Amino acid sequence: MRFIKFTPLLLTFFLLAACSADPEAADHYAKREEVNVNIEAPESIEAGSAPKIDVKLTQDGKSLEQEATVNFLIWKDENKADAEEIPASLDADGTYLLEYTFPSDGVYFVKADVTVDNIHLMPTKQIRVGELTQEEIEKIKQEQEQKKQDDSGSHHHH
Amino acid sequence: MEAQKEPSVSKKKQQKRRSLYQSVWRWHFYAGLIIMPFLIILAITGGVYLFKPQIEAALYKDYYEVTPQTTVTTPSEQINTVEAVNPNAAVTSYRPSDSPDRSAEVGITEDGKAFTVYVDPYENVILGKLEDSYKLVNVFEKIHGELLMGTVGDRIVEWAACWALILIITGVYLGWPKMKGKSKIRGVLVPRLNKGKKLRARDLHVVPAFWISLGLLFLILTGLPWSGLWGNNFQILTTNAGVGYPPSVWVGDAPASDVKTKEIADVPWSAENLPVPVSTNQQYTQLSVDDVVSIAEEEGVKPGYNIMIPQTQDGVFTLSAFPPKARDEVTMHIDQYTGAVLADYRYDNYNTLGKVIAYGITIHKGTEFGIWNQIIGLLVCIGIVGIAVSGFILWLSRKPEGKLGSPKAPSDKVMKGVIVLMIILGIIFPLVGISIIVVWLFDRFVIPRVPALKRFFNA
Repeated sequence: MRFIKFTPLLLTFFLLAACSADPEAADHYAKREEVNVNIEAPESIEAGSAPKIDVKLTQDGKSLEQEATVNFLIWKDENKADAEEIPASLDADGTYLLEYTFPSDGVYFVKADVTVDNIHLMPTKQIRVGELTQEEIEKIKQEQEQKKQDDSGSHHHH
Repeated sequence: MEAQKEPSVSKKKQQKRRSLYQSVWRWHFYAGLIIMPFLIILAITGGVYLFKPQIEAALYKDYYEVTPQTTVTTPSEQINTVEAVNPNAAVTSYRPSDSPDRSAEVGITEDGKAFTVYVDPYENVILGKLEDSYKLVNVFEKIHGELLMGTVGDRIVEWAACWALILIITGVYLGWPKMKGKSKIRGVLVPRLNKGKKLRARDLHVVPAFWISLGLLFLILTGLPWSGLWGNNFQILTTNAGVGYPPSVWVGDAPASDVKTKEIADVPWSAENLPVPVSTNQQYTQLSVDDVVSIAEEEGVKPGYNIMIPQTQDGVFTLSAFPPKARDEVTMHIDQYTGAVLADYRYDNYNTLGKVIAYGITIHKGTEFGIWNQIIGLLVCIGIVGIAVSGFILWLSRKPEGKLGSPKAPSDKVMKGVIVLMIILGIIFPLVGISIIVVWLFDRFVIPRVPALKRFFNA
């Protein structure tokens, strides 16, 4: 009869005993070649100036030696349809320069379209030029508020 | 027990065999009686679920069908329309149209409930909105997978499926032909309909059960890998060992988007009441769904996939397709800031066991081999209901008044063989192990102590 006492214990053990996924398990399966991309821009940009903005490509922590095709797309606010396309110039191994003069103050988006072999990267960075109007600040505040809600409101799906 | 006057060696042997037969009969009976209702539920709901494509195409015709035109709107325009109509919803997924006359689907969550919104990609108008958990076929799937009872239901289904294995094993032992020669086939492969009522009742259970159990065995073995306890652990073991699905296809985490912490961590989307850092210039924005669709095209992923939109800072766009045929499956994770393909898992990237499970699942669901797959699946489902019912009738036809009609309990010695088999199954399937312990305790300690039960169970 002593068995009966252990039954709930055994039951809990079996129901809870779950192995866990190994974070390194991906090493056993097909891997993709990785190239890291970073758009680098100065902290503050004035309208009418040509700031040093570049794209840095790295692989395994080192500058990418292989040549890539890099194009920039630049637009202001929501006017993505009117984006200006500017080809990048190669500066050094893995570094591509944007030569562009921001015409006026405001919120700009700089998208770098990078192709290396069959790898296609397309990061977009928000760049603020000059002083923002109260309206623009409010808008950014709202967007961030929205993001915060999204972050806490829903969970990650696999 | 009869014929005990001259206990010759062969008589003893015969008696022993008869006892073993009885003990197996008892277990077949216990298992059958307990899981019969579950098997019937699983067979009926599964039989309906097999025809999901046809049922949904008929039910949601108005939401699915669109008239092809020359100009198509972009996915982000369609998503904007859905957001405008459902301002409080979070968009969680987008499924591009997979043929010119099929609508696109936008998945949203609102008040914790998931909905699918169907959009005409040409006109950019909403055709309809359905709550996912109330879709008819999803309800059948929910019953089939967890009896509408969440985790508890999932465990019950898993447990019933494991016990069905015991039924098949014990059933094969019980039905194994005892006669030699030609008559072997009759009563196992072919029923004997004109040899009296009792034999007919037996054969109407045993003969179909023999044929159906092949299909049932297949459904159990292919169904178990997606069960919540055994299946989940099995998947984790095979994924970790590098022999199954790659991580994140079934178990394991997807890779994370590179959030470039030094730049984004300063941005106060997690801090409260901080002034907008107007001087902090650099913030990556999330890729648009249009870009993700173009990446899918570049990567050669055929339409029919679903894009899961990241809901956290380090989440990824997950592109997944589980089409009718296993070899077309895709799970692809895309960095939400750079568009980099972080992982690309196609059927070809599954390891051997993963491929086997994948085929098992598509055949189980009746999609792998088209209409014939569905028809054979349906026949097996009907057969399962049939053998459950005929088993019950067989028991009724043999059951004496006021008793369950189980054979007398044999000695422990004879039960050894059966016990070993039970222990092995109990170790492989912990839920079976637990219930075997419970039934054994009942069989061993409760029944002998309660005279009424003892009479009832014929112990």
